[in-house]
This record gives sequence, structure tokens and C-alpha cells, in this order.
Amino acid sequence: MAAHKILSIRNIEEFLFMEAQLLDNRQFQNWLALFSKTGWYWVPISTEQDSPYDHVSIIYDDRKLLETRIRRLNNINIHAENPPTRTSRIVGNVVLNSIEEDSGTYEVCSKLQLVEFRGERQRIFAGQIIHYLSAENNKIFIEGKRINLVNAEGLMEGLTIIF
Amino acid sequence: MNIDQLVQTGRVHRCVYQDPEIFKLELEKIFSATWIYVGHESQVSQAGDYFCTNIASQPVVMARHTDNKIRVLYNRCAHRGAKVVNCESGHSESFKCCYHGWEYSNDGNLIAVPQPRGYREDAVRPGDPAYAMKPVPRCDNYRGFVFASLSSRVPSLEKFLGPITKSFDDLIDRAPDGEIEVAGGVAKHLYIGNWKLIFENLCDGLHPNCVHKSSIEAAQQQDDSVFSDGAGEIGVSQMRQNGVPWDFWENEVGLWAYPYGHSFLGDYHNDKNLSVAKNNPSFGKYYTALEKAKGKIAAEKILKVNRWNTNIFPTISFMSQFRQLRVIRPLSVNKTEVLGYCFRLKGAPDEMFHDTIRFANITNAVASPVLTDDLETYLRIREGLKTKGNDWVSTGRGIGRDIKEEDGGWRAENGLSELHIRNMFNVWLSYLKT
Repeated sequence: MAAHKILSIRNIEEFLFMEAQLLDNRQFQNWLALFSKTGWYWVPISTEQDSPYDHVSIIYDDRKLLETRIRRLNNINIHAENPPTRTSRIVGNVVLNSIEEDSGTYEVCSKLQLVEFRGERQRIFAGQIIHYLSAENNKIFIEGKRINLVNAEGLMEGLTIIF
Repeated sequence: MNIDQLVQTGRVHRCVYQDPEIFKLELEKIFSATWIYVGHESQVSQAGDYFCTNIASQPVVMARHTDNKIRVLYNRCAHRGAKVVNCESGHSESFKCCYHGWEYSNDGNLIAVPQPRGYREDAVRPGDPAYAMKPVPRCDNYRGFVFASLSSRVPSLEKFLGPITKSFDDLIDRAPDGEIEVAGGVAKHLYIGNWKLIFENLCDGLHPNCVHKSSIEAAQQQDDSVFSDGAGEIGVSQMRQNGVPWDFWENEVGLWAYPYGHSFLGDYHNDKNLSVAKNNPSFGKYYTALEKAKGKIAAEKILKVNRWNTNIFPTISFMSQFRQLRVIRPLSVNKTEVLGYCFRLKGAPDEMFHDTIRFANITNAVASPVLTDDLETYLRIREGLKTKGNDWVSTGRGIGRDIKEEDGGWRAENGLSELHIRNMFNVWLSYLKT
């Protein structure tokens, strides 16, 4: 199968913009539904980190942990999200890095600029996102998502948002 | 208000958490006057290795010299005062100041000065202790855990730690090869709130069912059949475990407190119900390695020690069973930096270290579904204590029902007591009064 013939860069961009909108709209369950059954979500603690297994991360969730994280965001007792955080993000500079022919996985790189507001605090996050995407029956799935924050190593206050 | 009046039976004055003047006193009378954790010897395993941190907001560097000795030096050039070592950690044959190139060996001695003729000939000479990067007055270690003091008038480190050394022993003795090392990076977070709050919280058995309710319920509702590469197995079971009923905390969990303000929560986990051990093949593999190295009887004795958080006042809290250590560094009266480190047990299978990392991500990472609710609570304490409607913060749970132990410590009535908080404030007051 020639995987690269299935998704155009425009298809991919539309998918990423739709994903960004789901997150800003706090439609977390719909966002979770974009992931494949073995999908993972990773925010490394350094942009050079090459494994989530032998080094701590800001977030490293396999599918099971990601489901629990998302379920908590909708739990009424989540103090850290009472009041809820508001986010507004721009995803751009979308580049298709490579296509893995065997698995049909697209490696897509984009840039993120995100403003977060909660209570008295407004913060700005920026970084590079790497999506590993697959396509099946005209549907795109996230096999993995890695976010390299520019301040990954930095000291920050509690983080509840999804990048 | 007189310092003496701030700590009373079963209560402390709210200003101990929020008065900048009190914080200044704490830097002087506690952080500059007692043993402060600096790091673990494995962070500077080779001559030339260094690790930077601070004591009482003053930059210091822990360095291993060619004599193999570990020293803790004030991180400041003797010339014009610039911080000499700027990276968090690394390896260097010498330390060179960026400003005018004064160069120091790893024991702090001045070894070279560019254009020395310009200084008065008798004034600046390599080797002169007056122009060294000075060592802090005291430095010692307990089985590789390095502590230092900015005051020479401290008791021995052994006396300072007292019976709480058993928690360090528990961490180290669990290694099949008898050695541990810091590995896997550092998880940092900042919280808005006073530094003492985290010591209170880490041995507070009453809070998880309230503070962590969202992550407990989310984990309880998790479908176990969903794919996990290990992260979810550890994370979800740990979150569920936070939700053990209050009766359990009351009947099964112990809390102990010791001189100099130390404390630990014990009996909580034995290795049968430990989230990182229960039905976990990596723990089985580890047990085989431990038994092989130490023998069956010794291995079982080692694993019988059940300690959850151990607080060493005023700088660290660690989990011997989970191989985690938090360093607490106050930045101001209302801002606290927490650095989380993991330990690798030498001789244990790699999979066990992966579990250590998974556990760290759930407990110490800045985006942890558990930790973030603690941080929100600290923030609300800061807000609430601004009111003048009530000057007092209660510390009275379990008061009068503490049991004196033979080793000089106290055992709380049960795991829901505030003994560790009262003990901390009694010690806090004695420091501030000196």
C-alpha cells in the first residue's frame, strides 16, 4: 500500500486544526477519540529526551493513563480546574516529515503557541508538536503525540491543560 | 507578636506561613543554621563531577576533587563575586570564572589568575585560602546522602538524623548490590505557598480522600482492559490506592515523629499491596535478584520495612519503597520550588527502574493528575490565610494521644494524626528562638 497517497498535507492540516479546536473547546472526550487504541501522549522534560521509560517526563501517558487523565478533567471534584482553565492556541508551520511505508504512519511536525488563563494567572506556552498519524477508512488516528515545550526543563506551576 | 506566641498547644499563628519577616528569620535561623540536604554522592561519582544547588538561597556547588573527596563550596568568585559554576551539573577539571578568568581547582583552591602582576604582589596568590572558593563550614554524608551546614555550630549529622536513618537504610538496603544511584532526571515544580505546607501534606493521611478525589474516582472508573505499556498500570493503581477509606488510614497506617522535626508515615504499603509490586512481574524479578544477593531471610527482613514518606526537616522528603526523593527549596515566603529525583537500585532489573519513573510521573511531575490538586490546595491556603477573621491554624488532631517510643521518637495515635505538624513546629520554634 502506498500510504503517502492517502493523506494530503491539506487533510493533515485540517485534522490538526480540528484537534486544536476540540482542546480549546474542552471537548476532551472527543479529543481522546482521535487516538488509536494504543495511542500515547508525551510531553518530555527536555527536548532531547529520547525515551519516556528511563527518564521522568512532564507527561507520559499510554492509552490507559490518558483515559484516566481525561476522565479526571471532567470530574466535578477536580480542584485544580475549579474554575476551569481557558486556552487559545495556534497550530501552524505544518510539515510532513516522513511516511513510514510499512506501518503507514505519517510523522508530522507543527508549531504550537498557546495562551492559558485561569484565576489570576495567564501563561504562554510554545513548542513543537510531533504527531504520528495513521489513516484508516478515511479516518485519521493519532498513534502518538509528542510536544517539545521550549521551557520543558523550566520551573513551572501545576499544569492541567492538554497541549 | 512575640515569636513564642506563634506556636501554641494545638495551633499556630497564620503569620508563620505568610509573613516575609518570619521567612527572613527562617533563612537565618533554620536554613543557615542546620543540616541541609545537598545531593547524593552518585551525582558526582567521578573526580571533576559537580552539582549545583543552593542553601538558604545562597548558591553552592557540590564537587568531587581528585582526592576523591566531596566538598560543598560557596559558588562565588573570590575576585568580583560572580557565580563561578553556572550549569546545574557536569564535569570539569577546574572551575573558571567567566568575568576575569580566575581559576579554581575542584576543592576550591585558587590555581591561576591572569595578569597577576596587577594585583598587589602579596595579596593574590594561587593557593591562598583567602582567595579560594570557600567550603561551607560543615559537610558530611549518611551512606552517600550529602548534607552541609552554613553554621559550624551544628550537632553531628548522625545526631541530627537520629533514628530516622532507618528510612535511608531502607532505601539503600533494598538494592541487591547494596548501592543506589540518582538516575532519570529531575522533575521540577513551583508552588504558590509556604515551604512548610508540603512537609505537612506529605504525611497527612486525611487529605487524599478530599484533595485527590478527582483522580481517585477517575482511576476507579478506568477500564482495566484498555492498552497500557506500563505507565497506566502503575499510574491508575497508585491513584486508586490514594482512595483507601479513612478507616484504613485510622487502623492500618502509622505516623512517627522525631527530634529535629523529622517524621514518617509507615505501615501504609507492604509489598503485597504496593502499586509497583502487586502482581507485577518486574517486582518478582527484583525479588529473585534480592534474594540471590542477600539470602531469603535477609531479603524478607529488608522488604518488611514499610515506610511511605519520610520527612527530613527542613529540606527533603523521600519514599524509600518507591525510590523517590523530593528536595524542598523555599524561594520566598509564598513560593516554593520542589525538585523530584529518582533512584536506581543497583543489581535490580531495568524494568523496576522503569516502574520508578512511571511512579515519579504520577507523583512528582508538574502535570501529574495527583500533584496538581495538592498545588491548588496550597494556593487556596495562601488565599484563605489572608483573612483576619481567624488568626489561628489548627494542628490539634490526635493531640495528647501520642505515644513515646523507646528510640526517642513519638508514635501518633493513628495515621490521621497531625503529630508530624506539631513536632515540626515545636522544632521550628526552638530554632527561631536561638
